[in-house]
Amino acid sequence: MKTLFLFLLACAAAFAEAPDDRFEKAKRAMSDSDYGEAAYQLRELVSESNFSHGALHNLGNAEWKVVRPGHAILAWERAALINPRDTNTAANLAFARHKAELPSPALSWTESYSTWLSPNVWLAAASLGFWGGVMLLTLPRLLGARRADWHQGIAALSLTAFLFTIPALFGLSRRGNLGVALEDATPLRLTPTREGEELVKLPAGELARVEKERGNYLYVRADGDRAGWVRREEFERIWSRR
Amino acid sequence: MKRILFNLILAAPLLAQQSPVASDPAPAPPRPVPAPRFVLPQQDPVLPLALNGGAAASFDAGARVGRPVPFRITVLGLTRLLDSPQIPEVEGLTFQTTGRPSMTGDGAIVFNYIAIPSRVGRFVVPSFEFPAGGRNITIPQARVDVADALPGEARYQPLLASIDMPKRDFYVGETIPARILFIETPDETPTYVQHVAKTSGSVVFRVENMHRSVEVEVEGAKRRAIAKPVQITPLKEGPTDVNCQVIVHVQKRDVGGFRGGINMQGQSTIDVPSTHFNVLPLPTTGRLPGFTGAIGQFALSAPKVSGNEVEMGEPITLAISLTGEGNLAGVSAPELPDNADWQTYKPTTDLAAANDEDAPLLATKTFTYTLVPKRAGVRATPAIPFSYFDPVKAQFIDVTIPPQPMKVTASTVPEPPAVATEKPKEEEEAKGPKRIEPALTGLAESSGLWTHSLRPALWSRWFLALQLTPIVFLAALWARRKSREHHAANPQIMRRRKARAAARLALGEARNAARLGDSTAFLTASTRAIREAAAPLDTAQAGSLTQEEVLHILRDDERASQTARAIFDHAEAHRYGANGAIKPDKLMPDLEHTLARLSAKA
Repeated sequence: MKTLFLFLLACAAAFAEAPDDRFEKAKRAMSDSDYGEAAYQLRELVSESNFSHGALHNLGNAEWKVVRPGHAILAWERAALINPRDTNTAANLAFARHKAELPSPALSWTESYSTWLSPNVWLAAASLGFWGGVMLLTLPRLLGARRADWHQGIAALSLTAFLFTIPALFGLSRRGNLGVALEDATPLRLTPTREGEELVKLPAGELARVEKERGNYLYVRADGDRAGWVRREEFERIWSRR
Repeated sequence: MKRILFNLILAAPLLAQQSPVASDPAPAPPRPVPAPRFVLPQQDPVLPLALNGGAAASFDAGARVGRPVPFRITVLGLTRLLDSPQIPEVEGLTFQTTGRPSMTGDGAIVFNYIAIPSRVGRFVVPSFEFPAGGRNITIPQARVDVADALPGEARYQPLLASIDMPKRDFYVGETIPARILFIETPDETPTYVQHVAKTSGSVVFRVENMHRSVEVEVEGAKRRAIAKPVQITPLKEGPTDVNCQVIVHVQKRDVGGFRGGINMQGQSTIDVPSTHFNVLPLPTTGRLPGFTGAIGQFALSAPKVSGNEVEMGEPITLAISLTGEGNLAGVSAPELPDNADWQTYKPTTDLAAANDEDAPLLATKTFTYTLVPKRAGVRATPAIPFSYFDPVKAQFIDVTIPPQPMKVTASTVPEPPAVATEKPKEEEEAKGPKRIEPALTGLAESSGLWTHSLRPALWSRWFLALQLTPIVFLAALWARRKSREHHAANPQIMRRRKARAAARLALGEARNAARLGDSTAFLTASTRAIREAAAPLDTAQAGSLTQEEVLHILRDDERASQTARAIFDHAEAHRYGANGAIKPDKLMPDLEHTLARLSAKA
């Protein structure tokens, strides 16, 4: 009986902590203009490794309202990662960069191309294209059947689709190093030490690329070749490594 | 051994005091032992730790109601410092951690707490598990007896915290200079404000990076405090409550009641009590032109013009500065009205904070306009309507930027041809409508699909494993095809395999018949088994093999040959009704030998 009670209690607790509940709670707080509470609820969701496009989009709005532009841009960038076709998230990013006078991220053509679809859609397309083509070319022979014209036609189409995904996969691997400066005037240091000379400061929300890591420091390069060591707490990769 | 040496070193001074020294004939006169200024908290001996599986928990003696008593957990065998264990709840006892755990010289880690009892009596902290280093450490039970407080002794007073802000009504959008005060008590002194963790209320809560020591008056007495400046901007009209949760480092004094004794550093999460104030909407009446959201008390500097005599088409700059305390960070530049005489551009803004500790909002915002005269003979720059709202006077104040005298002369640059002059107009038209400024969009109505990682599948092990599946599938199909081709090229392999299976089946039937003593069935099964086993060695089918053909195959093995002959003969005799003396169980070993011989040949 006691075990059953504890089990029911655990179930109830788990239900209370459901991501959708927190999402709704945050939405209500936003409607009541309680942005601090909304940001808190959504931050808790993210810290528990619960990510969704809607939650990240709303987290960006809440962070913007509580004047944390770096965190807002990070949340919107992550929302755009999950759903790159959402125009609201793209508009918010444009709005934030316009207001904070931040440069738009300089992406290579492969990186821009990779933003057309979400990373997992690209991966699925590449896998299906490659293995579909290979299967259609090899299976008839292995199963002792004659290779028909349509086999070859669809195999050619699949492999062509795979070829189109290769630049996107390359772009994705490069975008994995992009991150956001979280706090305003984030210093870029000459050496990866606390006493390292400050070379330049990044405004909150500016994008930069991680080039190397050492201990608690990341070597990042921002627009205009501004590069230096930044503390991990002050900079967050868009694609979490968790 | 090390521990024995360590104990001997510790005990040496005591032994030296107690035992007479033979080489010293005249001992020094005894000196009065000074009373200790304070008593160190007792440390648990190491021996009980070993007995309790490497962990001990104990309170210091002398616990009294309302006063903190040190409680410590000592764990042996950990290689690094960990977060302090969560103490189970005990009614009437409140626990607080005091700083980071410490490591003793003999390799134990000590987690320090203070417990504040709320009543007299015996309290028991139950035994509990503490996960550390991949194992569960059992922290043993600990007890403390709490006596009544001494006469006149005050209860433990934790740090006081409050949000200090001006006592008046505020307006929506106004930036309120406030501060969070952490006021010392006889028992706790704030040392450092680490983080403002959570705020609530319909406000924007902006926390400054610095904090400073101040003196505040509490109930007529002056006390030291730490003030953390914050800027609060209400977003909604009506009664508003604002509060926050702050992580503060505090110094806990006189723990254990030894005044002037040991101070303990600790980290406390403090819920700053709500502060209530009323938020009013901006008045709708009396609003003046050029209001761009500035709320506060400001002064406008004299406009600065880059030159008072320019040629037509030559740009000039007009700079104005707004200085004062208010929401200057969010104030936009006043817009220039359309003017036939001047071409105008979007102004630039620059905000310079005064960094005055007594006036945290004091700053100067400078708006710089670029203006180009369109014709000669213009006498002045255009007036720019501008106003702000003064929350103290509760009215809008007009600070319109007055026209500045200007002399615009005709351009000395020769006029371009007529065709060329019309070109910019065409270009202007070709540009299309004015660019729309981006704006913040609404909230997402639904959360969408939840995922537990933002890491793309490309970097996941399961994705790479999934890519191996088609390879394995294709390899299996290829192996199957190769096997089939091999069997087609070598049909005797399949024939032998089938013959062995049929012979094994028939042998099984023969064994059953032998066990039951059924001679007829035994002979039928035996002849079939011999024929099946011999079939791969001949071109004929198993059923059509004759006795002579089988015997020919077995001609080099006398025992097998005789067995086959006997079985065939008896079978023949049985077929024609003769019941010869045959003992199947005796024939079984010979039959098995014969079949083994045939299998070996095949």
